[in-house]
Amino acid sequence: MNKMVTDIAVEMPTGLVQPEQENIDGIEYPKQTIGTPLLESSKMSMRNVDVFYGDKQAIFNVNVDIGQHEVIAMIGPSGCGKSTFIRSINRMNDTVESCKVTGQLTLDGEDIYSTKMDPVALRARVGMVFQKPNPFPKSIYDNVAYGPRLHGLASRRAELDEIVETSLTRAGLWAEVKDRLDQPGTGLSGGQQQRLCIARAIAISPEVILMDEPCSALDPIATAKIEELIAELSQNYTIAIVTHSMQQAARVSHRTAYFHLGRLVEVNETEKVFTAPEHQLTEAYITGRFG
Amino acid sequence: MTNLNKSRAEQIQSSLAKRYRAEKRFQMYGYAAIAFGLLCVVILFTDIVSKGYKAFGQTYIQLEVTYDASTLGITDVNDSQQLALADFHGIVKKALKSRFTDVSGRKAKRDLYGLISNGAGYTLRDRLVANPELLNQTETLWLVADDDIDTYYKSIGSDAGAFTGRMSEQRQGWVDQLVESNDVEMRVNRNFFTQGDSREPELAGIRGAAMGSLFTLIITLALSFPIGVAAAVYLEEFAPCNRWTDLIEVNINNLAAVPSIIFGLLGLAIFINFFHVPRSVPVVGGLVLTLMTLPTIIISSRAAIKAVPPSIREAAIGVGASPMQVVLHHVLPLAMPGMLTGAIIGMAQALGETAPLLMIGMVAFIVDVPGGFTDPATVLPVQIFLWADSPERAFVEKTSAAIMVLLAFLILMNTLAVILRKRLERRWL
Amino acid sequence: MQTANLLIVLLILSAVAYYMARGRSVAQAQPLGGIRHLHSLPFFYGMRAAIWCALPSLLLLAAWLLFDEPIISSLLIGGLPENLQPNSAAEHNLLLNSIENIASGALSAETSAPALVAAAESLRDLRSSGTNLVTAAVLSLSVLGMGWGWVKVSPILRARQQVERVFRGILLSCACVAIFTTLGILLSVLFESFRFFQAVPATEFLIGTEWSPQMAIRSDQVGSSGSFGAIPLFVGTLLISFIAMVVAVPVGLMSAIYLAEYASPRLRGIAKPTLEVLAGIPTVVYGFFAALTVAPFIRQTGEGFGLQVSSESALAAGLVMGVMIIPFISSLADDVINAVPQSLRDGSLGLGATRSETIKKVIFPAALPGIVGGVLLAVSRAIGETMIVVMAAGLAAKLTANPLDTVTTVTVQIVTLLVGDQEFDSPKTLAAFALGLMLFVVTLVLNFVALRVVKKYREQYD
Repeated sequence: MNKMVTDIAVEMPTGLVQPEQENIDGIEYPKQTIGTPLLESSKMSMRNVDVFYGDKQAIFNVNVDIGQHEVIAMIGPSGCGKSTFIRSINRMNDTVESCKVTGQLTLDGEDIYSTKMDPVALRARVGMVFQKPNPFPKSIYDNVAYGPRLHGLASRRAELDEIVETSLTRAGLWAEVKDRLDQPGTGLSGGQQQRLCIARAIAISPEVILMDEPCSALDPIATAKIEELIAELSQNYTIAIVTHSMQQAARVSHRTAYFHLGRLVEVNETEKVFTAPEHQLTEAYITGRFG
Repeated sequence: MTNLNKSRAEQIQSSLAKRYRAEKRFQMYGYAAIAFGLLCVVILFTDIVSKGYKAFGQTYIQLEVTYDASTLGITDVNDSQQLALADFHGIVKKALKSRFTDVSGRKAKRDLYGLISNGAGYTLRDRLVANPELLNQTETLWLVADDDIDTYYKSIGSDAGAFTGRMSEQRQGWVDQLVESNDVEMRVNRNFFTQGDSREPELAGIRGAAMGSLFTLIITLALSFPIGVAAAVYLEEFAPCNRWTDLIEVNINNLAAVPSIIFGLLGLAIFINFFHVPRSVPVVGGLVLTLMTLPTIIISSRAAIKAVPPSIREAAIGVGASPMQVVLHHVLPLAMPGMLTGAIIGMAQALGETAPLLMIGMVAFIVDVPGGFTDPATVLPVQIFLWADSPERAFVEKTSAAIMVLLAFLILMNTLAVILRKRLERRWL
Repeated sequence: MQTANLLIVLLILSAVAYYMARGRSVAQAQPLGGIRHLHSLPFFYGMRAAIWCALPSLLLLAAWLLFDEPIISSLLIGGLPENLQPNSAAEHNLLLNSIENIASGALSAETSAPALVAAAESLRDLRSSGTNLVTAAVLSLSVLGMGWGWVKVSPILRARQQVERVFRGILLSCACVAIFTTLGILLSVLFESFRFFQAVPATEFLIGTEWSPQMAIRSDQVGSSGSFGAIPLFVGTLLISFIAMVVAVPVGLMSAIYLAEYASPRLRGIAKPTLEVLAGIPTVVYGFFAALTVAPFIRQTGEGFGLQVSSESALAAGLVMGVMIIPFISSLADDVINAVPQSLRDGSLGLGATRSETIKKVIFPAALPGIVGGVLLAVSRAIGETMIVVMAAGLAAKLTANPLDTVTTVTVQIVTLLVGDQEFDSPKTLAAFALGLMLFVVTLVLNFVALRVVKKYREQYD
């Protein structure tokens, strides 16, 4: 587990003292994110991130780090900007014409939004799994082989076969589909489809996997399988997961970040967030006063 | 792990340049496709406008004409029988002979008389009828020149040099003389907008065809709009889910894609050969075009009805309205702009249609401007087809000009449809 | 009375019927304590009477207008003496025409056969008495209907239901026009084709390679030496359609993709409507453009390379037809591409694919069924397109695949065979209907398959 940073450049409140408040539209936000958003060593770090859709600002001054091989869950009421935020981490928001991201986002110290960083190469390093399972209308094999083929990761067929097998195995799907690799991926059940999408994402060995509510379209049993899978994957990958289910966040993540209307209110170790939230907004959400 | 990642990253990086080149190439193809499409539009319009704009002008020649009673062979201007037989072209010939006194020989004389259009006689007759005191008087008049002269005069000074075509050098000389003495002038071609078809390009106009189109479209609209709307209302609001309804739907969708010429065959076999509707009249043209445009109108009317939110129907049913009242009071008024848009687009389609009308005899050569639904008529696109087939060079510019008029109408109708659609959108958003 | 006047009178009568029945229902409601004691609103009583007044008489009038000519002419011909009885349909028409002309005074009565003059006389009589009879019948029927509508008014009459049933019936019959149109097309082409195939064997038509219908203009040559092998026409049609698709499919598809996936809103705002202009241009304009601009240009260019180019080359017609079909393909492709869910695009981009890779490897394969359906519809359009080929392609039925040569198409031949003077029984005229049948069947199958494919595709992503 990563060590939390206690004294850093950004002023951090300590203890349970109510930090300085900022009142916007009748809601009291902390001036800085409370808890431990920043880490000593991190895989990715985000500083002063603002995201705009045209004239509308969706994310306000977010500062947070993601540690190596950590699972960080992002929770918050719907419309709080957690999906927007996660999509700006691998520049998926580039595809939205009116969207603009400012601030500093780095991956291993490299600026994600610099002109030197290539979005295509970036997305190969920071993979993504989406809310709705979205297998391509191709065979299971071709779905998994799509990424490696794109990036030229396998020079021989055998190599590609191996990548497909390991990816499907890691995604816990190999046993179920090994006899029907040539059948369309869209014919699988919802949970299998989502695991196929995860296999597809890990086939190009990304360093970070972003998951945008990966279980929201699945039944409880399929959800449980995906959650197990996340726990296993976290040994090799850094994972950021957006979820609207607090229980899920509690089950799978090491740290939890609470977003409220585009602002990052609190980041803490998951256990702490759910047992002793520091900020009243977090507490209100956790106890189900809204959400 | 980190090492492995490094090599992966390098591997990815290495093929990136190639992939981006492919990306650029693909974008270029797309760009080229768009450019090609736009270029086609530009070429088409420039070609037609450059060929046709001159048709809106007409060459006139100034002559001193004497309404000589003996040449005309009349004694009483008010006697219509005498006027009908009077030789008005004779006095044109005389005027030409006195202008160019040194012409001799049969062929040369025929050439000379051919400077002025045959239609000039009608102009003179109309003047004489309007002013009977002109008999045996002399006046200086601008008369319509023959199409060869018109083409020649229009092409003087063009890049390709003057177009002489069938003209003898002698004729060119006369025209040049007339030009020098300022007796040739370019005027607005009124014949083009006021006359029916003619074998003489300088006398041919589009009024007959335009009126034919108008009458045909009135029939088409009067039949296809009510029937189309009624069918759409039935299918959207009343039709039970059964095979018959499916059959109707399949039929409508297929008819929308049946080649238009097939509708011409239908019109020929059913309306003309079976029901003995007369050929070449707007009524039968309108009937055929009605069947052809119905699918378009039904499909767009259904879309308009679908766009009416179900909550409105539920509200009306909730206060006890009958299905018919729901349709008449709520659905139809709200869907009307959309239906009208569809109707206009259908009418634009009908206005531009040629092939089926050829089948039902609307391709005849008709000089008179039709005055009603049962007069033999032709329509604008068929007129274009007929002129495009004519050998005289002067008809090329007439054809292009007729196309310009047709396109102007179509653009007008489509603009109207776009405006209606815009208003409709505003209403629902 | 003239039809238009009769219609106006009917309209007035039904208005009267409406107000009378409406008034009566209100009057009946008065003693009961207001119109809420009526079964239906007064409006429906009025409408019911108006329908009774107008509908039956209109139906009668329509039937008369449709069938008066056949009835009168059969009466006329039946009344002619034995020696004048027509032997063929052509003679029949000729006879009717001359009677008509005598009746209208275009043919002088003195020079014509007395039997015909008598027939012309009776034609005039039949016409005027027929019209009078029908006018009287129509008017009395409508007055009867009006009376019936008025008499039946009572507070318990279910007027609304009756009116709505009629209303529904009218709507249904309007919807059935589509079916009758298809039936009409089928019957007209089938019937005449059947007669054609009696004169010319179907095998000769379908597999013969020699097409020269003009030979059969003399009756002693019917079917024997006039040749009706339609293969050259099919080949010509396919050649021109193929050239058109070679132009239209890539250009239409690529411009749709570019506009949907790459273009800035500004470019899209200009390019999309401009391309749609191409769809609104009448085909006769394309024909003119092909014949007078494109064909000479191709000829000159070809000759510049030392090639033998016909002045009515298949290439010119095909190219221009392709331009005409571009917007058709691009708007269909646009629909289809937009139906591919955004999540697939996200999935591919999220794996680090470039846009073109996403389009080529994910969107295009996903949209393929829809695109194929669209292309099939476009092919059916190209096959059925008439004016461009009539004006720019030739009449010579050559069996060639050389795009620089002249070919003729099915539609060109239909037009050539049917425009101008026709003899109704000659195989030459009937051949046009046989070609029409082929055209109808082929396009119908194409449309049917294409529409099903597109529908299936839509359902997949709904």
